[in-house]
This record gives sequence, structure tokens and C-alpha cells, in this order.
Amino acid sequence: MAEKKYWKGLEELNQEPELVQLNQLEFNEEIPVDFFDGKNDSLKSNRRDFLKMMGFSLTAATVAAGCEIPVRKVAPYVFKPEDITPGIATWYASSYINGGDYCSILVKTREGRPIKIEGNTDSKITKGGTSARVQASVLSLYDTSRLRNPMTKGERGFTNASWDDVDTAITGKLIANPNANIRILTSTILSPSTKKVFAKFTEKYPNTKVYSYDALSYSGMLMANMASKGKAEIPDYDFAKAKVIVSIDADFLGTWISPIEYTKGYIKTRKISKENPNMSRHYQFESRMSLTGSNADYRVAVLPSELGTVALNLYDAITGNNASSGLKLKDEAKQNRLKEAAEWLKKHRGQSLVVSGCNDVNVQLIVNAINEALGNYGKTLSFDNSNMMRQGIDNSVKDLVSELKAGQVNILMVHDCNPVYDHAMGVDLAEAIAKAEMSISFAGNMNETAEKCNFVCPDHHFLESWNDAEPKKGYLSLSQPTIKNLFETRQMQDSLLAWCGVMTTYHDFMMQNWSDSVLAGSIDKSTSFNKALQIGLHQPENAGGIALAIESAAAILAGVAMVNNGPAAGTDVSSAAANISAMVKKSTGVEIQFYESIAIGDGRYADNPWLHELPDPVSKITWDNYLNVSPAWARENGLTHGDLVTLTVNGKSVIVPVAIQPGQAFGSVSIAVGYGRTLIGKGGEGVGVNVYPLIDASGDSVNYMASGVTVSSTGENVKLAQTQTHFSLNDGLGQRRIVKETTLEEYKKNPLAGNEDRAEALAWQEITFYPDYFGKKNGFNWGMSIDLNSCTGCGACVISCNAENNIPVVGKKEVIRSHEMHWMRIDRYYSGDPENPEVVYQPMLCQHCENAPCENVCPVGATNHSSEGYNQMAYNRCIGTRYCANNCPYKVRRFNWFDYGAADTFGAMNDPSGTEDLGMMEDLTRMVLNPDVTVRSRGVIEKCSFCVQRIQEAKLTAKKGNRELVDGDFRVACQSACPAEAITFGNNYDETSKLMAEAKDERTFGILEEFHWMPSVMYKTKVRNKDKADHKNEEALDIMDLYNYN
Amino acid sequence: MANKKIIYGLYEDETVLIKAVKTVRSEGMKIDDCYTPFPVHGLDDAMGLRHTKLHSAGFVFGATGTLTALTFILWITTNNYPVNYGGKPFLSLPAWIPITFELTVLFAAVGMFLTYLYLNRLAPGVKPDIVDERTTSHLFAMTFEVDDQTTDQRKEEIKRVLAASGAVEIHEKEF
Amino acid sequence: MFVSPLREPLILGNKTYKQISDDICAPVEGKPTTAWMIATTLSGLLALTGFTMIGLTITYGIGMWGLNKTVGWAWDITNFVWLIGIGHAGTLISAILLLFRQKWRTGVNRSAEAMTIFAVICAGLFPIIHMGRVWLAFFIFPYPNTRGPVWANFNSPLLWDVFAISTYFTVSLVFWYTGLIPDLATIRDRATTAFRKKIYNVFCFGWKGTAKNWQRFESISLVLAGLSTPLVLSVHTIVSFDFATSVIPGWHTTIFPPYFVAGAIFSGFAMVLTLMLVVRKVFNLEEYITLHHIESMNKIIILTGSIVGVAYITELFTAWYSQNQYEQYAFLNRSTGPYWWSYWGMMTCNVISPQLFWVKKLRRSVVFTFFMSIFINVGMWFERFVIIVTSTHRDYIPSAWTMYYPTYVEIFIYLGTIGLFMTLFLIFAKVAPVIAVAEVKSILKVAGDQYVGPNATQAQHHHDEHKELV
Repeated sequence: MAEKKYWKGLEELNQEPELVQLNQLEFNEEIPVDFFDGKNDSLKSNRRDFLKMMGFSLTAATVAAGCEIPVRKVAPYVFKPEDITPGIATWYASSYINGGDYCSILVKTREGRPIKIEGNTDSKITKGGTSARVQASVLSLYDTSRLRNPMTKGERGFTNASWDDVDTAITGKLIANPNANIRILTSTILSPSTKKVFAKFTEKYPNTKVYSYDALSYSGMLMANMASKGKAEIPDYDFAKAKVIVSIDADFLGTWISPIEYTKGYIKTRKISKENPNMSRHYQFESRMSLTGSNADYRVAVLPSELGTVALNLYDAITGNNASSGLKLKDEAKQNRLKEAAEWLKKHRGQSLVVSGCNDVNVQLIVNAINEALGNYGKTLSFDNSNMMRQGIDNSVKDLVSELKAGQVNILMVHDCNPVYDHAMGVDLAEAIAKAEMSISFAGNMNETAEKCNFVCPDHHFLESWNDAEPKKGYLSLSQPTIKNLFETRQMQDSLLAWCGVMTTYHDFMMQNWSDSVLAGSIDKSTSFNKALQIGLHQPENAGGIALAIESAAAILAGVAMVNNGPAAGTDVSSAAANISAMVKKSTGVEIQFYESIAIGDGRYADNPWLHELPDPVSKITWDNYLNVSPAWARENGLTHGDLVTLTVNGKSVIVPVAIQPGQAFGSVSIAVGYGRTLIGKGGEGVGVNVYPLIDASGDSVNYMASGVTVSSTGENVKLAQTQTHFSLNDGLGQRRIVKETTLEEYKKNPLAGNEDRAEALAWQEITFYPDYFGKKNGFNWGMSIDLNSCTGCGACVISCNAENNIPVVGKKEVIRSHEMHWMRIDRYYSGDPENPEVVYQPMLCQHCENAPCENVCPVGATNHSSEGYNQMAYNRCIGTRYCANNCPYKVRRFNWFDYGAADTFGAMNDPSGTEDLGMMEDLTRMVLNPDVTVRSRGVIEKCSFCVQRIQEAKLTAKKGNRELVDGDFRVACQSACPAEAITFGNNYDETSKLMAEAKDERTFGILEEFHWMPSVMYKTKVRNKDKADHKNEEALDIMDLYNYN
Repeated sequence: MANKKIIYGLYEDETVLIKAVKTVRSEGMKIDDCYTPFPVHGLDDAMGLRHTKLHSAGFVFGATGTLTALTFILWITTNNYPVNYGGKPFLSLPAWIPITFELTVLFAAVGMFLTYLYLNRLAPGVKPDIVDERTTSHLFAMTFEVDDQTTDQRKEEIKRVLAASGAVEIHEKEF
Repeated sequence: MFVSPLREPLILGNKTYKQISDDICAPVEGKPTTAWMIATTLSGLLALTGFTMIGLTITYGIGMWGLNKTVGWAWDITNFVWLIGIGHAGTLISAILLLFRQKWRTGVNRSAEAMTIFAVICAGLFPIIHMGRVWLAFFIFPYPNTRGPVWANFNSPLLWDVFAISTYFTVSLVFWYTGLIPDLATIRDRATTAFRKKIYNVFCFGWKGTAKNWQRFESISLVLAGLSTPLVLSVHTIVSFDFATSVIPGWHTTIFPPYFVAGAIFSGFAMVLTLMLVVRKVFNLEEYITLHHIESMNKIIILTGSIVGVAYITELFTAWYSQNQYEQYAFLNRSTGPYWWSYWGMMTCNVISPQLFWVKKLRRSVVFTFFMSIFINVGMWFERFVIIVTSTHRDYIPSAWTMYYPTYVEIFIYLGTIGLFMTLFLIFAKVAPVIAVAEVKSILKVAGDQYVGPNATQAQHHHDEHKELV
């Protein structure tokens, strides 16, 4: 009989082709790639969705993103790639490059999703340190405002286009007139290969000029170095070697050139012990209270116009000349401090360092002369491995504008910069762009400049890009994609190559470039390239890097040329001095200084809610820029905190809120640039005010200072989103012993200095009902130690904690209501004279008390003590009585007032009064979430968990390797982010652990120990290298009345 | 059940009632019951009622509460779910006192109340035989149970005694 | 004829038992007056608003309130403690005064107990709605579950609270209803319509009032009184533990238990007065709630007010004596900090003003007493606010110091509970006798005006029996 046939359906019976085909596929459903094209952005997620999304991103990130990580082949998920195991993180070495900012990093990816960035300890530059910006950069990868495909401008504004359309249009134009005048405007380019690309492009189109400028310019310095050293470069500063540091308004711990690197060096001179009780002495002369100033041993508040005077007087005191010709600081005490600084410098010739943040070529010339006189060149600073992080020349923009206006530019390309927004001549430029026949922007997000161009060819996020970098001559660094480009974007270099008819991808081009120059010497080039790729670095002793540098010099010839035949600035000290004193005489009335904020920088970070919500280390204000004024000055002018004032500089006015800032030089004000972006997505649109237009860029170098400023109150007052409103440990009954400090001389006499009372505190602990009830067990008892002397307060740990622990962003309104969620905060206290106080930073997180007050009071036992000595939260058990938060002496517990994390049982709900939509709840943004950490729902308490997920992971790894978990197997998020190595984490039961060594140190103390809560977090006394007489720590400081909070 | 027949006298004052009860009983007559609008002190003695054991019951209930609380908490904190809260011992008796006390009171009160309702046959929906509606307002009743066997002469006797003892009204009633 | 030589009568106007029943039942039996209608509607609306606001809170989150990272409790727990405190007077009047054989209590105990129940209902709302995740409130009850084993934390004062409050509510309810049963029976038997009879019969559980009934009634009343007395003390003691067992300066205070209990009685009596003064006017019960009642309660207010005053001073002394900076600052901040007004408001209302009651004239002035009672309730609300907010908003770590301001949501929830309280009380006053009918009758001869009922002559003898009770 005929063979029996079983069939599932008629289709199969009749052998319909598509079914047959389907049967052969394992996944016959559509893969939800439409996720990426924003159709779903309206979707709100709930907690379940988070799980779905983990599952989804597993597929999406691998099928869509296809784990095209360092491998060049797309691997469909059905064949499991070796380096992807669901639930196990994969790490990639890469480089964070954003404008001139550089950091060597490791990127943690889960299921093909980059979710966390850590420092790369192999780097000789950043040495494993990171900054808040680096930590936050992973969030901007998932920025909802990123462009999803190229765009062309028509009558009715921008329309989406395909790359083919764009390419045909542009290449057509180029081919049509190869001799067209092409101008490429870019920020500092660190990447040698990119410079090579420019060179290549220039070959094909000879009339191409590359202009490079930095929104926050250092060209004053470049010009000065050109003048006095013949090199338009920034020297390589080694703060580690400096025993005396004098900084003239250089915020080198916060924003100046390469803060991570400098913090690393600086901190080497601040880590002290009984054995080696030596630390550098740091003098800071500045007008605003900068992060660096707040860390200085001696800080002298001077007017912006007096910075030159300071430089000249130092120069005179050291060389014995009379360049200052009678120019002095008005205040006697300040003048004496200046003399003292000079004495210390003289005592440490070749071991000292004088730096200045002024963009005034004259001041920089004097500073060079001082370092020269002190014989610091070749010791604490040198040009052997010049710093490449700032190469911009201010005249570029001016020239470009004039060229454009004259209609001499056919094609304009704007890469990685936003001059319309961040240059004083932005407005002119905005008009002038139209004069170019074709204008192309490579902006990844629509921005003020891109809007003016008629093509936008969105660039990759750096986490999607191949690239190399030469942050310092001879130090090379590689970036590799950690995820396939989420959107229809294309790397700028690829675009350029395509347009000049080079058929290779930028990746291959770069490889080629490396084997030609960097790896010229090596035998097996691909192996050594892969080796470099593996650690993300190539730091040869030979001059391989230099070769590249020369290549690149050619590329930015335009800029360099300008310096050579450029500035009218005097090249010798005398004329510089003359210019300075002329400038001083000119300056009248109130003076202003424009500065770069730690978080937002020149404005390119303004789309990042994490950074907006990071409290400014000094002012503790979030989500705003504001006019810093000194307390006394405010009193004199009848201003209070938050008053809206009309600020008029160089004839232009803006309305900004006033912030009372102790330490701001009397008679001067300061305000941060980078705010007030008008085109930057939900994250930062309309946050703060743009003050770039107020800056005077008429000179050879942009002048970030101005005098004759008027500040007039509008009579209105607004609340500033400030996370800390009380600054003094002195409550009127004396200094609270929460921070302990001493001076170096005291410490040398007695290592217990400042911490004498600890013995008593510990004695109190003897009085107890339950003498060590749970006893000391073997195994683990986790603890932390924070060195107050190392901590600079930069805030990298805060953002790192955000990223690691899925900490929600709450927005300005909520911060004003003190609803911020940060698990890790950095308390900042002032003491002494309100006009120039001493500052101390104290990172504050859950202290994981052994006898935790919070645990006793939770009715449902949602928070209790783990057998490993940390205080744990069971979010699912928490009913939100907030009793624990009330009973926490350190106030580190955070409550989910609203559904910040979009994890609510009832779906995301925001209050009618309207918590802002910061794009943080959208599915795309939520891809940054760490799958190892619960997203907390509304109504539960959360707090620092000592990164328990990392502890567990490390334990499991150790177990698999069947060995004991050893000290340093893992680092908690804040610890790994800290550029100052201020945080030590470890096991209290392990006598050999680094933590135990710290615990035994005389400087170690716990906060409020006398109450016998037995915190697991220990702090180490702050030591100031200043004379006891000047140490006014005990003096009361009461500026509360200046704040309108009560 | 067979219908209940009673003869009852109504008094206007509790003191009169108490006297009446005494005299009636001294004449060896069996009083069925007395109905008063408010607790009349000494009436129960006069009627020779036993003292109630309700409060003793209350004590038992209370003791049960105490034990329940203690054993329950002890079992949980030391045996079933020992958790380290703020470094306190698992067996931390002082912390249990409040709950133990509360449960004692709760058990005693509720237990007694239910017993009270049970003994008095009180419950929502119970249809009581109301002797005279004024006995919950301002009159006091003394009732004698009679049945078909009771001779009229006997009934008269009862009425006479009631009248003599100061009853303002005398009625016969059948439920 | 007997008139107590010792005391003035507690019931005026030569009442007979019948008159008492008539007078007290009149408001229940009569048609609801327009005044009553208006009052009920208004308070009902207020309650409704409150519930809407609670709805908002639950829908959107506790963020609707003015709380913040440092001040985790404010109006919510303030209102909770305040209302519980008010509730205590009821139990006290009926229980303790019963134990002390204070006959004057009979005039007020019924409505005082009712007040307790309603106050506790309102108070109970707050610990529930102040939770971030109300829908999981059942977690606080130790019940066997499949997550298990997972049990509540028996060291947590908040858990003690749960037991204390629920027990307190149950026992008060039982106590109140036991007393209510015979009176409901009275209304039943006076009822004219069959329907009314039916309803009231259901609620009076079919009470007959036999000698045995009354004997058991006396017994249970006595024991319940005996239980309630320590209970009421324990409840506020435990409420005070919420703060006393914590570590926050200004909360961690060992004198809290007596201090809170005294405060509770203080505010409670004030509230009873507020209500009684209204009731006696509205329902014309001046003859049952006499000046003597008012005066006696005012005397207790002087006493408790002074105790509270001493407690405040003791706190200050302890702070100074402890030589603990944090403790000292807590009190410095209370009296001179940004919330100084609440502290001095509390001092004026609770400590200074009640002393005026030393003047007999004021003590016996209805109007003065009324305003004073309001005043004291405000003061006691301030007391809780001072303790809760001014302690947390500036505790150990200055960097975390913040200010607290209430939002409209909190304010209306508070007003809402007052509305709820009034609504419940008005309904009660309409459906059940606001004065314990039976109990008043039982003291008529002893403490009444000249008793002119029938057999007046026998009254003499009756009294000699009960002298020892007088």
C-alpha cells in the first residue's frame, strides 16, 4: 500500500514553498529590529519588560548588533560565538575619545550591550582612572536624541535620506569641482589615522584646509609655547614629581587638559603614611572656587585680572627681576602668601611646577619663564612626549567665518564641534554657513551647527567606532566597536574615505596606517596589532608615535601655520609683562570669569542626564549654570541665593540665577559655559543659559575673562537644585567630629594627630548589652576605607555608581525637593573664613553598620544583616515605611518617591505636577541598565549595596577556579572609578588584605563611632600641608543665612 | 417547644423590686426571672443567683494569649527564621514584651466578649421573648412561669403576692 | 429625701427614669435636624476630598507629599500619633474612671468611647497610606507564606504598633458595644415602627435585661475596664517607642512613654470636651453633661498639661545634662531653628494656657473651655510635628539637612480624616444614644437632683446601701 503520510496542515500537505522554506529556518519570526527606528519610543516599560528586554537585547544585540565586536564577521546567534555567554560579561579594551578628552578604558558588555566603563590600568597616561564624563559616556550611546540616519535639508527642513543618496549628492559635487575650496572644521583630533584620512582627502581635493579649534581654547598656551619653545604643543606635565605646585587658575584636577592623568600624578604626592610623611605643597591662585582650588593647601582668591600680576610677582621673586614693575596684589596678606609660594618654589628648583589656566599668551609666557627659571623643564614638564589633547587654534573660526562671508568656501564640513553654539562668533557663523555651496555636518545628534548645514552625515558613537589616538606623543591607544552601530550612522572617516574614492573601510585604512608607521619595526604586524587591540594600547619606548605625529602635523598645517606667523603677542617676558600691566590697568569694576563645569564641559555632554544630575563638586548644584558670587559681595549688593540677575558682559546680557559661593574672589563673578543648549534632545534641552556669546573672542586667543561687568537683580528668586544646603560642621555648639583633619607638621609629630579622640570613641563601644553576639567568623566581612587626603571630590564614583546600580535620574524639580537618588554622594564642608574657606570632601555612602539602626526598625525585615557583614536590602520585601531612612544616622537611604525607574507594578506613572521626561524611561535608554541589579519600583527604599553583585560574581569565579577569593579579585564600582585611588575595599577577616593595613593606620576613623553602630566604612584623616597657624578648621562658619532654604 | 406562659408584675422602683423579690422568695415561691432597665445592685443576691465565673474565663483566655505570643515569636526568631537585625540576639525577650502584652489583652477581651454573648444568648438576629417593652426603659418586672397544669387558684395567689409587694401592674402573657 | 452633701448633682432637673429615657433617646428617635444634615454633608464632603487625595498618593506615589531624603515622616505620622492620642481619652474615661467609681463619667463615657473608635479608625489610616507600597501592606502581619520562611521583624517598634493599634481598636470596640447593647435594646422597645424594632433588635443582639444578663454585664464591664486601662497606657507607650527606640537626637528619649501617655490624655480630654460641648448644646443634654462634668475634665487637663510641661522641661535639661552635642543641638534647633514657631506654639498651647484653669471661674466657663479645648488640640498636634520633623530635618550629618513643607495633598488628607471623624460621630449621635442610658439611670438616685419619682420614700433606704460607692 501507498506510504502513509502525516501532515501538519494543508499547506504542508501541498508542499507550499514558503512553508518549506520556513521549516528550514530555526527562527521563523521577524526579529524585532524595528526597535531601533524609534517606532517604539512611545512604549513605557514595566519591570517585566526589563526581563523581556534582557532577552530581547540578547537577540537584538547579537542578531541586529551581531556581536560584531572586535571580530569583523557577523555571527548569527544560533551559532554561539565563543566570547558571548549569556549572563557573563565580556570586556573590551578601548579608548574614550571625545574632542580632546581622552581616557583609556575597558568596556563591560552584557549580551553584546555596553553597560559600564572602567579605567584601563595598563595605560601609562590615565593608569586606570576615570572621570565622571568617561563613566557617563556609555549613556549617550543610548541617547534617544541620536540621529538614526543621514539627513538632507530641503525647502521643508531636514528629511531622512539614505547613505547612497547622500554620497551621490556629495561626491557628485566634489567630482564636479575637485579644486573647490573645502574647509573641514573640527575639534582637536587625537587620532593619527584620522589625520591621515584628512591628508588623503587633501591629496584628492588639494584646496582642502582643516581648521581645528577647541570650544574651550588653550591656544594661548600653544602660542606661548610656540613663542618660547618653538613648539605649538602642550608639554607633558608630571605632577607626581612636583614637591611644590603653584597653579594660577588651572583646574588641573577638574577640567584642565588631562585631569585624570594629573589627578593620578597629584595624588601620588598626597598619599602619606608614618613611614613616608611627605606631601607636596599646593598653592592655588584663582578667582572662582575650583575643584583644584578647593583641594589646595593654600588657596588665594584673586581677581581674574590679577592672575597676570601673580605670575609676574612670582617671576620677579624667583628671578630677582622687576618685570612686575610695582604691580602688586592689593591685599597685603595675599601678597605675602604669594611671596611665600615663591620661596617654596625657589627651595624646590626642578621639583616644582607652575601651571596656569589663563588663555592669555602673555601670562603663559611668564609661566614658561618661571618654569624655565626653576629648571623644571625636562623634570616636571617636558616636550618629549607632548600632550596632544588640545591642538585647537582660536583664529581658525575667525578665519573660517571671514572666508565664508567672502564666499571663498565652496564646501564646509563640520566634525565633532558645534561652533554656532559654543563660539562667540556663533551667530555670524550661523549666517555665513549659508554662503557655502554645500555644508556637511558629521554630528551624531542634531545640534545648533548641524541644523544650519544642508547635509547631516551622523557619526558613530565612540563605542561603535574603530579609531586610534595619540593623546601624548609616543603613547598610542585604540578604540574598537563594542556594539554594532545602533542606527544608520557612519563613521566620519569612512564618509571622507568614500568621498575621496578610497574603497577601503576606515578599519583597514587604520590597520594599514599602523603597519606603515607605528608597527613599522615589528615583524608580525597583525599579531602585534591584535596585541595592542587586546589591551587597547601601544606604548612603545621607541619613537613610533613621533612618526605619526609628524604625519598629523602636516594634516593640521593650517592651524600650525597660523601660530607661526600669527600672534602679535610679545615673545619675550618684558613685552608680555607690559601687555599684562596694560590689561590690569584696563580692567575696571566687577570682573567675570567663564569656566568649564566638571560635568557638562564645553556643552558636548549636555545630552547626558547622569552628568546633569551630578552635583557640581564645589557648589553641589545640579541641572543649571549660575553666577557664582562671594558671600560678602552678595550681602553688599543685596543678593541672596537663587536671585535672578541680569548679567551684562561686553554689551550682551543674559538672565541667570545667583549662587552664593564661598571662596569666589570678592568683586568678581564666574559662570559655567556649556549650558543652554537649544538642540540636544530631552536630556539637557534648555538646561541653564548659554553664555558663550558673552565671551570676547576678538583677540588672538579667546579671553575667558572680562571686566566692567554689571549684575542687576530682576527681583525674582528661583530655587537652585542643590543637593547640599548646609556647609558647616559647626552647628554653633562646636565642630562636629564627622570629618577629622590635621596639618602635616602635626602629623609628623604624631600620626594620631586630629584623630586622638578615636580611642575614647572605641572605648564607648565596650559598653554594650550584646558583646559581639554574632562573634567573629571566618570567611568574609566586607569593609571599605576612604582616604580623605586623596579624595579630590571629582564625582567619578557617583556616576560610576549610577551606571553600575541602575540608579534613576530624577530631574531638576525632584532634586529641588531633595529627592535625588544617588547612593554615593560627596559631602563638602567649609570651615574658616567664608570669603576663602578651607574645603574638605567626604564621600558618603551606606556605612553598612554592624549594629545597623535601620535594620532594627524595619517591620517586615526587608533590610537585615548579611553573614558577610554588609547591610542588605530585599526590595521585593520592602513596603516603604521609610522608618529605616529616618533612623539612618548618615541619611544615605533613598526612597523611590515616584516611578523613577519605570519599573512599577502599575506601569510608569509620573505625578500630575510633572516630573520631567528626561528620556530615561525609554526602552532604548534602558538598554544601559545593568542586568545584574534590580530596577527598583516605586515606593521602595534603596541604598548602597557594596556592589554585592560584584562580590558574588567574584566569589563564583573563584569557586569555579576552585580557589579562595583573594584580596583584589574585584573592585566595587566607586573604587574602580576613582582616579585618586582614595577608596579601598576588602575583607575585614583577611589579615593580609590591603583594607586591614588601612584599618590599622593611625589616621583611620569611623563616623560617629562612639554610638556603637560599628560602621564598616572607615575614613582617613585629612592632612593639610600648611602651618598650624593658618589651619582654621575649628573656626565657625555660618553662611546659612545667605541661603533661602530656611 | 411548648408555648411559655408567665405572670409578671411591673414595679416602678428597683428598691421596691428588691424588697418584693425577698418577700416572695421568703414565701417559698419560685421566681422565674426579673427584668430591669439597668443593673440593680443586690438584686442577684436577693434572687439568690450564683456569682458569674465570666472573669475567670477572661483569665484563661488572657493566659492563652500570652503563651501563643511567646511561643510563636520564640519559634520564629530562633528556629524558623533567625535573621540578624542590627546585631541583636535572636532571642531578645525585651523586644517581645509589647506584642506579648497586646496579644494577652486581645485574647482576654475578645474571648470574654464571645463567651458573654454566648452565655446571654446574645447575637444579631436573636428574637427575644419580651416580657414588657417598658422594662428596658423605666419599669422593673418580676415574672412567674405558669403552665396549663397551674390552677387558677394558684395564679390568683401569685397575683396577690405581686400586688402586695408593690407591683403597679400585673399581667399574664403567653409567648 | 436624699441629696449628696458632698457633691453637686450630676443630673439636674428632678428626672425620673422615664424622663431620662425620653430625653436621651429623643435625638435618636426624632427626625434628623437640618443642622445635623448640613453638618453631616459638609464633613462627609471633607472626608471625600481626603480620600481623593489618598487616591492620588497611592496612584502616583508618596512623592505627592512634601517628604524628602532626610524627612521621611511628617504630617502622616504626626496625624497618626495625634489621633491615637485623642482616642485614648475615651478609653480612659470609661475604663479608669469606672475603676475609680467616678460617677460623673456616665454622662460622657459613651460618646467618649465612640470618639475613641472613630479616632483610631482615622489614625489607623495613616500608617497604612504612608507606605510606599500600600498594596503590600499585608506583609507586616506575621502569616505563614510560600515565600518562606519569611516573617516580620519582631524587634521593630512599627510591628509592635501594628499589634498595639489593632488590639486597641478591637478591645475599645468590644468595650463600647457591650455598653451599647442594653441602650440599643431600650431604643428597640421604645420603637414605634416594626422596621425600626427589627433593625435595633439586630444591633442589640436581642437583649432582654434579666438579672443574670445584668450580672454578667457588670462582670464583663469591670474586667474589660481592667484590661483597657493598662492597654491604653501600653498603646501610647508603644507609639512612643517608634521614636524612643530610634537613634535620632530628639527621638531617642527615655521619658517618652509617660510623656506620650500624659499628652494623649491631655489632648484626648480636650477633644472630648470639644465634642461634648457641642453635643450637649445641639441635643439639649445640658442636664446630663453638667458644668460639674466640664470642671472635672478641666481639672484633669490641668494635671496632664502640667505633666506634659514637666516632660518638655526635662527633655531640655537632659539634653544639657547629657553633654551630647547632637542631643543639645536637636533641642537648640527646635527652639531657635527654622521651625521655632512650632515649638513655641506647642509650648504656649500645651504648657502655659492650661494653667489658666486654676481659676475656677474659667474652669466652669463653657465658652472658655471650648476655645481652650481647641487650643490644646492644636498644641498637641504641634507637639508631634515638633518631635517628628524638627528632629529628623537636622540630625547627625549636616550635609543631609533639609527643610520640609507640606503639599496640598497632605493637608487635605489631614482635613479629610477630620471630616471622616466628624461624619462617623454625627452618624453615631443620630442612631445611638450619646449618653449611656442604663448607666445614668443607675446613678440617678445617688448623684441625681432630688429624686421625685414614685416611692420616693424608699429612696432613703436605697441610698444607705450605696453610700460606700459615693
